[in-house]
Order: sequence, then C-alpha cells, then structure tokens
Amino acid sequence: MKYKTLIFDTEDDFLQELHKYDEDRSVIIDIFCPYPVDLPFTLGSKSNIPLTGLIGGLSGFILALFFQIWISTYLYPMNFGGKPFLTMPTYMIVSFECAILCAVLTMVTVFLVKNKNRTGRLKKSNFSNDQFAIMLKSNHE
Amino acid sequence: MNKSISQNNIIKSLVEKPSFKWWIAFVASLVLICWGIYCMWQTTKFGIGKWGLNNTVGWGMAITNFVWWIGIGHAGTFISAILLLFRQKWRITINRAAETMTILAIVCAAVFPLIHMGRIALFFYTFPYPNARNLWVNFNSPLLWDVFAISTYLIVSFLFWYLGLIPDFALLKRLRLSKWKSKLYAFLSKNWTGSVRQWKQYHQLIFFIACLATPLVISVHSIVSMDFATSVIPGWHSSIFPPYFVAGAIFSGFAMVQLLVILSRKVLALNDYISVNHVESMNKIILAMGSMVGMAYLIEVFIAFYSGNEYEIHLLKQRVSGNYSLLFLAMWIFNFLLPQLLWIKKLRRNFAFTIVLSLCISFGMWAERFVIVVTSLQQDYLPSAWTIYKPTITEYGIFAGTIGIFCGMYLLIMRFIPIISPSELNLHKEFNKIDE
Repeated sequence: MKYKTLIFDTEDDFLQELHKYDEDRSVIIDIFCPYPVDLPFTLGSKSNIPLTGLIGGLSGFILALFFQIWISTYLYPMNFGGKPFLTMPTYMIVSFECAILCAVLTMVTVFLVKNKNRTGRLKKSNFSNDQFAIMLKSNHE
Repeated sequence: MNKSISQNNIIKSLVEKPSFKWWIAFVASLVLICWGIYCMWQTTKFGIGKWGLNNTVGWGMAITNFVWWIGIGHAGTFISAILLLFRQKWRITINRAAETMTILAIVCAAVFPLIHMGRIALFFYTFPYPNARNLWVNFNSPLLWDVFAISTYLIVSFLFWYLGLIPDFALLKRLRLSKWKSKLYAFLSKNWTGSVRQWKQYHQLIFFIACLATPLVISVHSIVSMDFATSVIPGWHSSIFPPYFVAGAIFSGFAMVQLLVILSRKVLALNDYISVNHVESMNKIILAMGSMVGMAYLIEVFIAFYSGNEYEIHLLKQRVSGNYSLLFLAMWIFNFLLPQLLWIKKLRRNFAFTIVLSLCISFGMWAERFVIVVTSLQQDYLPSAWTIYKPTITEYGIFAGTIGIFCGMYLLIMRFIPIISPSELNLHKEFNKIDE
C-alpha cells in the first residue's frame, strides 16, 4: 500500500490536523506520538491483553494447585506430626504466586509478539523522536 | 540528535564521561564487593563455622540482612504499582530509581539464603522438580513459600522495570549516542515505534501488571514474616507479623529511595525534575509508615503483658535490658520517634534532614530485624542453652559486599539508562512546570 506521512513539531498542530479526519478515519494507516496523547478517536481493534492475562493467571493457579496436590497426596506423601496429606490452605500461597507470575508472563509475551508484527512502514519514515506523525493512504488529498 | 534533548540533564549523564566523584564512589563499591567475595569464599571453604552462629542462635545476621534487603525492595513496586493506581503523578520522577533499587535489593537479598545453605551449588534442591533422589519439597513450609514469592517478585519487578524502559530505549536509539549503544538500545526497545496502537496496549499492560503487583507486594513480605510467625518461639509467634512486616518494608524502602533520589539529584543536577515537593511527598509516606511501625511496637508490648504469657513477658524484659538493649533502643528512636519530627513542615522539606533521617531509618530497620531474630533465639525455653550471639567479621564482610553490589550496580545503571523517564516526563510536563 502506498502512503504519505504528515509530520508535526507541536502537539496542538498535530491534534488540529487530526480533527480533519474525524469523519473519515479509514484513510489513516497509523499515528505516531513521542508520548501518549488524548486522541479524538481510537485506532485498532479491541486489545486482548486482559483476556490473555486472565487465562494465564487461571492456568497458573490451577496447574500449581494440582501439582501440589499430586505431589503431596500421591507421589510423595509426607507425614508431618500426623497432619493430613491434603492441606489446601497452605497450597493457596504457592498457587497465588504462580497465578500472578503466569498472568504477567502471558500478558508481556502477547505484548512483545504484537510489537514485533508492527514495524514495517515506520523504518522508512524520517521523523525525529520529539515529533508527531500521521500516516495516510497516499491517494487521499 | 535533537538539540533540546541532548542538552537535557537526564540524557547528559548517558553521553558525558563519568565524573571524578562517580569514579570514587564506584571504586569504593568495588572494594566492598571484593571484601564481600573474600568473605563468601571463606564461608564456602570453611563452612558456616566462620560465622558467629551456635546451636541456640541458628539464624543470625544472614536472615537479618535478607529481611532487610527484601524490605528495601518493597518501595520500588509500591511506587510503581500502588501509586500508579492511585494516580499519584509525583511518582514519575522517582519511580525509575525506586524500581532499579527493587531489583538490586532482591538480588542482594538472595545472596544470604544461598550462602546460608552451605552448599551453594545445590541451591536448585529448593525447586520442586522430578529427581533421582525421589524427594520433593515441603509445600507446608514458609521457607518454600519464600522461594516462590521472591522468585515471582523478582521476575515481575524486572518486567515492570523493563517495560517502563521500552519507550525510553526507543528514544535513546534514535539519539545515536554511539554505534554499539544504538545497537543495544535498538535491541532492547523491542520494535517500539510510538504508534498509538502500541501506546494503548502499553498502558493497558502497565495498568494490569500494577493491579497484579499490588497484592504481590503485600504477599511477599507477609510470607517473609511467616518464616517467623508460624513457629512457636516467643516474639515470633504473633499474628500481627504480616502487616507489621509489610509496613516496615515500605518504610525502610522509602528511606532508601529518598537517599538514592536526593543523591541522584545532586550528582546528575536534576534539580529541575526532582523538587522539594517530591521529597516532601515521600516524607509524608515515611511518616505514615513510621507511625504504623510504632503502633506495631506498642501492640507487641501490650500483648506481651495482656496475654500473661511468662515467656513473652520475659522476652520483652530481656529486649529492654538484655545484651541487645542498645539495638532495641535504636529501633524505637530511629523508626518510631525520630520520624515523628516530620510533622514539622520545615523539616519535611529539608534535604539535609531527610538524608540524615533516611540513614537513621535504614539503620533502625536493620536493628529491628536483628532484635527480632536474635533476641527471640538466644534465650529459648531451656535456660541451660541460653547464649550470646556475636557476628564475626566474615558476616559483616558479606553484608558490606552486598552493599557494594547494590551501590556499584546502581552507579553502572545510571550510565546506561535515564534515571527519570523522558517519555513519562513529556506526558506530565505541565505538572513539572507547576513544580518549578
């Protein structure tokens, strides 16, 4: 796809230009900012980071819980002063830690993988690290 | 390179050669590291006998230092996660220093249990994995919970720190500081382009990690406190320990952040970014936490008498008038009474006073952990076993070594990453104008 890039030095100019596309957002390929800015509209589909975090966290919790139950009751049951082999309250702590670890690792992995797929066009663009840019389809006037 | 950015003091520290003061501090850290390594080598060669431990006091300086370092590591995630969720904008100038401190403090903390094991090469026995010994770890033990909690805390803190750096790495990459640095920053920026789609995902990710890291901060030091609280030793067997330890951890962590932030401000000339308002805000948290710690001290005294338990009463009397009464006094003065001076606004906004107070709190919190660990053990239920524990030079050396690792690594990191996030500063530039 052919495209052109509009470059701005100030946030005000950039936002002013952006408002022109309120009606027809389909011409915008991407927008670049040196820092996050409150835009008049959003780009891209809904993020799946929360869902992956939930799946990762639940998986971590369930796996850790069953792992402990399996070891303590079946694989290597140990007798500590006559206490029962299955002591669920104590398993919660390791399960909780594993849930947080897996949730964070899953979300970070998804984020980094998505970043990897989003390079491309910007490499050819030439704007500085404190400028704003709007990338448009080139047939748009 | 953009001129306005290159003249910025935050970036200058990455471009210019290190100053003479930096070299002095770095060489001093190296000396401490060398001493620490020598003492670690002595311990691994001759065994734990090089330490002052005995049959009665089986836990001494090692666990004291471990708890102290882990506590210091708490302020970083507290500032990053909890203050982020509370939308406290003043955190942006100190969060990088605090997060860096967290990671280094956890690494320093990990040194002590590893060495205390005696056979460091077998540390992996603490992880549950199928093995030829046919032995599994004990999931009912708080020491195993520590392994999970601290490993998780280290990984999550590291990822939080690294994610915060990604937009800054992208910025540094485009500054073209030098060939190898540009390549390194390009690799570390992980294809960051500054696209609004990326910013959206990024903020969502940071928010959710902050939500998860908040209970993690509470859980980690609660679990550390259970190392003591689940035993039946007087002074340890107490249900107040988890909140008491968490408050103490955040308290000591903030004291260390104050030191690092004020020194960074001085060395890197960051007066425009780190203002007296930031120091005052942190002092307010120190005051709140110090009061909570003081409340826990008072409750301990009350419960000892209210319970009528003779062992608890004996322990309290022993702490007040025994061999370690000076440390007990130090912990009351430095952790509870001295921070009360922060009710005075003038002192809250005074840099010199804040540095002195932070040093006193750091020592006071170390003294508190030493008192908790040693006084409870040295006079147990069997009077014929009562003894005195005196740390040896080897133990002091290992502790000094970890301080060297902490300072040396912090100095090195200051040369490679911006100690205040430029991308976050842009976001809040209006706020900084108000501060000036």
